[in-house]
Amino acid sequence: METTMRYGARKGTMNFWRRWLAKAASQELVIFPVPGADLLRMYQSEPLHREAQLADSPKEANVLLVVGDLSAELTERAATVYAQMPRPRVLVMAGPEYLDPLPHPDVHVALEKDFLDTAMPAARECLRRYSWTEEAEPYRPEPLVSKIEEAGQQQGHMHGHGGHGSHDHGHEGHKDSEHTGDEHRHEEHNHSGLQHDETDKHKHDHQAHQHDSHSEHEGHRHHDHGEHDHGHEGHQHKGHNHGEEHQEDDHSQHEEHGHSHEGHDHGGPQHGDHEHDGHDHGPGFMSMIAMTKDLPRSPDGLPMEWSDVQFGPFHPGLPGGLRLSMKLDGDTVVKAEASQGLLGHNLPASVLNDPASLPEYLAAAHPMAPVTYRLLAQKALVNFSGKTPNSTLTLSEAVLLEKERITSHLNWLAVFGTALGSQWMRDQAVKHYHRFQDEAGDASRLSEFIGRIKKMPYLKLKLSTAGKHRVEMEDHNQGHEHEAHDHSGHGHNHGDHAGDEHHHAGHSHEEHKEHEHHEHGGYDHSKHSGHDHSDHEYSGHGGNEGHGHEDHSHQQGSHSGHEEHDEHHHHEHGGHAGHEGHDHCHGSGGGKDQDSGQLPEDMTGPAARAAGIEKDHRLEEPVYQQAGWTPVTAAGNNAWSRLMVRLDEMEQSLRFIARAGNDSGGASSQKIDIPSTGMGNGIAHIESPRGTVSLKFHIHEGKLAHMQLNTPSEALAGIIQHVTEQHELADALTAAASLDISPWEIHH
Amino acid sequence: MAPLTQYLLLLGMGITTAGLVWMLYLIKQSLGQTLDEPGKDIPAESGNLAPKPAWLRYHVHYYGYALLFLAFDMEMAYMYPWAVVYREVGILALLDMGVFLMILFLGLIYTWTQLGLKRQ
Repeated sequence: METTMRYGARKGTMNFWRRWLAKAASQELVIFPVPGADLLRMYQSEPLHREAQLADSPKEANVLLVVGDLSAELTERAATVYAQMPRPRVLVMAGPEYLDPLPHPDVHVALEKDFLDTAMPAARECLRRYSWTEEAEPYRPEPLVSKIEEAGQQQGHMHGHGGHGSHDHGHEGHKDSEHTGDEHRHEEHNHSGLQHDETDKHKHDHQAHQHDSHSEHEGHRHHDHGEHDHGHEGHQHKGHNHGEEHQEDDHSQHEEHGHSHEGHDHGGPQHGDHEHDGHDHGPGFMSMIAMTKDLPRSPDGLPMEWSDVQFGPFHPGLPGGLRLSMKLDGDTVVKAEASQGLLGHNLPASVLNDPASLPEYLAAAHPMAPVTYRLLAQKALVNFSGKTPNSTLTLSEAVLLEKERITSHLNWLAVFGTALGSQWMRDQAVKHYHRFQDEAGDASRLSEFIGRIKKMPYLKLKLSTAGKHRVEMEDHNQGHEHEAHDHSGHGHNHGDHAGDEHHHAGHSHEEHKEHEHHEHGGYDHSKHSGHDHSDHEYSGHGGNEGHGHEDHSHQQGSHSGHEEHDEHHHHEHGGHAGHEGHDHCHGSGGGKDQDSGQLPEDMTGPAARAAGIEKDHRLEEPVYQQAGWTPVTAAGNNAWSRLMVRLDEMEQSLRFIARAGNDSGGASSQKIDIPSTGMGNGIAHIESPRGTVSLKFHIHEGKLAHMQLNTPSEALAGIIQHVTEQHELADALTAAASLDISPWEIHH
Repeated sequence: MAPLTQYLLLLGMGITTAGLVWMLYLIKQSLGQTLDEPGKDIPAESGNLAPKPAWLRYHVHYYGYALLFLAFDMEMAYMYPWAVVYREVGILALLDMGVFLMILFLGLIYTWTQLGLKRQ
């Protein structure tokens, strides 16, 4: 144990006082789980009690707990967190034995159910015995050191790039010697064509600096050149804090330092504005117009600087491993996107050579929904080996899926509760999650919990504005009277809706490429349960790249998944007098349409159903059809409707399981033999807790030649921009959390 | 209270404060030498290195918050001397302060009606 806690202990020898402190610290472990608490819960049988608690930030933690294998990128971020934790700190790894650049773990345990029972006493022992040691060394991980120091310098400089408007490069007596280490990379600046003769006494009055986006500068950022006059002998950096190393800031050799001011746009015409005659700054000196000329504009037209912030991959209010990169205008989100591939895996050769191992591989690669992915691969293999056109679910498999849906939604609810700041919701969700995970869930208590959430004061008001398509809201005001109607899982009750209350994303018919008008005389919306999906053919679509909707002929009215079709069917329903003239939300989906507020065509799952789109693969499964099952939908397409859909789905799953009675089955363990010769395709679709997952592969002579996995989270990640844009930051984070994106499903 | 007693009290407070600071310093010393690590200099941002300081121009619509803060901050500043003379002046002081608070409160109501307390 010579090296134990070398990077986690405080420097010094143990004495009585320190031993007492170490013992006290070991009593209460504060765990920072990586990639997140949601994954940790998958390996726990019961919630953490008094002996340990979860930390929201590294500064509160004394244990960094790595759960499972991490990608290199994620490991680097975990190393950053470890470097930021105060000492004494313990590194615990469950699964991997070593992840560079993290140090060797102080405690290593196998990744198995209830591994914390072993890991926590060991971590406690480490803290008790090794909190102080003479062998302690600073943790300076490569390659993080370079990045940290670079970022640290930028912090130290604190060069507020507030306004280059009257940037004066007088530069008398500039010595560049102090610029070591400072790269001066104004990436957005463009000094092209500017002859910076910076050794003479010219006053470059940079009124024409055009800072497209100050927030995007990298390196040497934040020179507050607003009142910056280099022309004086001996710099007078008013409002300009160059940090310790920059007292004699010297710009005379900027060119040699890669001072490439791309984006400054010093192209010819602007040079007319440069004042080169001593201190005469001209009429534009300190002019707000000139200073803010090319800053990005807020919606109200004011020029603002935008800031870049990152949420995740270890943010307590987001799924573990999900990283959101945001641009903020004040506290308003201008741009947001989810980083791709932080947890994605490449298919290992062993699986390629042995397709029979695909179910277990997929289950391990998607730890947030292992049952679904295992079943999906099994169904696809059955489809391949049996050459059957469709591999339907058995009742016991459907029960397994519904059980996973309940636990998955509860696990999401715990994260969502954290995002909302409701400790009660989080704790209750965690409690119920563990009960249902251990097959000891109580349906009535869960229903009671769900009822209490629905009655939480202010929650509906708060969530109804969060995560709503902004454009869509505008469209709603332009004609369609889309009053919120609650479908909450009990079939559509359109009986008394005189007008059009269908949920439409706001697209006019002008955008449609093809329209088909179906006349459904006397169609009764109140009996929506028996949707005729007989024309759906999911399986056997040879070149089905998406979810196989090409052949769909929806006959169930205007609710279900119109947005997903390339062919648009305009349904006219007898008895719906006001229906003809309404714009249906058809559209071809995809990138362009997203800008106009439409959900992309591959959007499935609770998030789609919360927009009124009745898209659910379970409608295709006989076992669900026989049970008279109908999907839960809701209107609103906001965080509240997503919450309602998931809550109602949990209750619906409980009813489904109860109806199935004793036929709850065990884990499906069918062994599929893959013939070593010949070739063929395997296709399967399953409705996971997040939406429809599709697997398609081609097996050639017993080996996996091609595989395509379509996951719901990819589409969900694609709409983050639309549900967060122009929302206040807290609402935007709530909206992102409401989507339930699994970072394991984002592969790109 | 005699002036000497007051000075003694002041001295006692000074010693106590200095003692507290000294204690904190001793505790810090007893925890051992700190190791200089680059990671500690960077703000925590969910595992990301904060790319740049948040040293930016604010949107003008935040001026409302600044004004409100100023108003109520000043209110507190006036209330301290008022509290000292309150007993001597009696009900009149209460009325005076009531008028002062009412004016500020009207300002708050006005801000509210102008949607100044709305986030966006």
